[in-house]
Amino acid sequence: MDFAEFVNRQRPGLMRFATVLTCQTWLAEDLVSDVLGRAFERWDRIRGMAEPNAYVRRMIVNEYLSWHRRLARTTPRADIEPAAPQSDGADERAERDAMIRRLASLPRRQRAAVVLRYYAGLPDAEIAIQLGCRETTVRSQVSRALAALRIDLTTNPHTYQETR
Amino acid sequence: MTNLQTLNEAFAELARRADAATADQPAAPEFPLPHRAVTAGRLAAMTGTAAVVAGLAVGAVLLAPDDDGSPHVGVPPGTTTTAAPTTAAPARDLPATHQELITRFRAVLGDRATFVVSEKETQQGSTYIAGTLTADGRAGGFSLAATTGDEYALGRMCPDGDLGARRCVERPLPDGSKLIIDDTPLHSGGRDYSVDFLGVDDTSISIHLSNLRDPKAPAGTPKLADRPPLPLDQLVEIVSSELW
Repeated sequence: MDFAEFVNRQRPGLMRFATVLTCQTWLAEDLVSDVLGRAFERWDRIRGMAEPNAYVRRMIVNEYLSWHRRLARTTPRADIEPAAPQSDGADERAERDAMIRRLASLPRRQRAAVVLRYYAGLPDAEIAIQLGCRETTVRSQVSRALAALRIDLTTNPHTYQETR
Repeated sequence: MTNLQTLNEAFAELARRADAATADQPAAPEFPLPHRAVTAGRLAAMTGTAAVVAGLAVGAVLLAPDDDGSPHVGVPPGTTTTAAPTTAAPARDLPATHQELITRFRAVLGDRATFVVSEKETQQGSTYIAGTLTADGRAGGFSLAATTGDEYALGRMCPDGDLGARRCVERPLPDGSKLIIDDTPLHSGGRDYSVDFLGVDDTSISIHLSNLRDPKAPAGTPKLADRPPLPLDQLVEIVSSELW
């Protein structure tokens, strides 16, 4: 697969992942653009990997957590407002938006752990590799995050949104 | 209490915003391609010279007072500098743990500032701290990282194109190392100063200093001072210190 084809195919998914991770579209765009620029530089190596997309996604997580990523935009745009109500009710929307706010206020590593487990559907062992920590640390990060998000795990099951 | 279904809906809404944000963009991305394939430091390490790479040539850096009294970086138009040839430097013995990094940072700072660490992390070849730094009654969020052989860190460069109000310069040093000096306006009246020292020995020291508590936090994050607590020229001194 050449680089342009990879970008055309994977960029929307990477952008969704980065937005879920950062809770800000401008930051996600910035992050994805930076990472794709770097991926281009090493594409000869990345293209030969079993899962180039997983590697690039890991680059996004690393960049996000490092805090040393360049802040390319001088004036971040306002994030896009939630869409006009569709089929869901006001209470559900309010609850969802409150969840986004709580998610956005989590410490970065806790948020990354939650997103990797519940959005990307990665096992704890893989999350531990991506975050550079032990599996027990992943579990404690997720546990603390769920408490802060006020999520009760004893209710309904979860389906992962990202297609791996 | 809520449940995972609500988290799922939050993810779906964020993904929808991502799709909306990119809906008008062409299929082919417009990020600057190709990026420079080799950094100055690496090239110098490979060739034993600090040659100025086409596209990496930078102007002389000025550290001049800004309107608010803080220094800024500027590049006089039409001026370039070239670094003298050099030989490879021995690798610096940078801190390998965040505790060592804290101790060393304290020594490098001297009486310039005090700091409190709220985040710390050590990985193979990389150690990092972040927190709040205070100098002359001004406080701001900071982060500091020391890396060895970290290609993410060593690949840093000023972006191409129109940077608007942001000022970023790359300054080659006589031994082939490189400084990246960056002054970025942020949301909420914030400002982020950053300086990277990219060593010819594949080590790097990077510091960010802001007047916001966390430059990556959403708009509205607390602004702790009118400007970052230390000026850019002092950050240059800090990352270039021989005490590392």
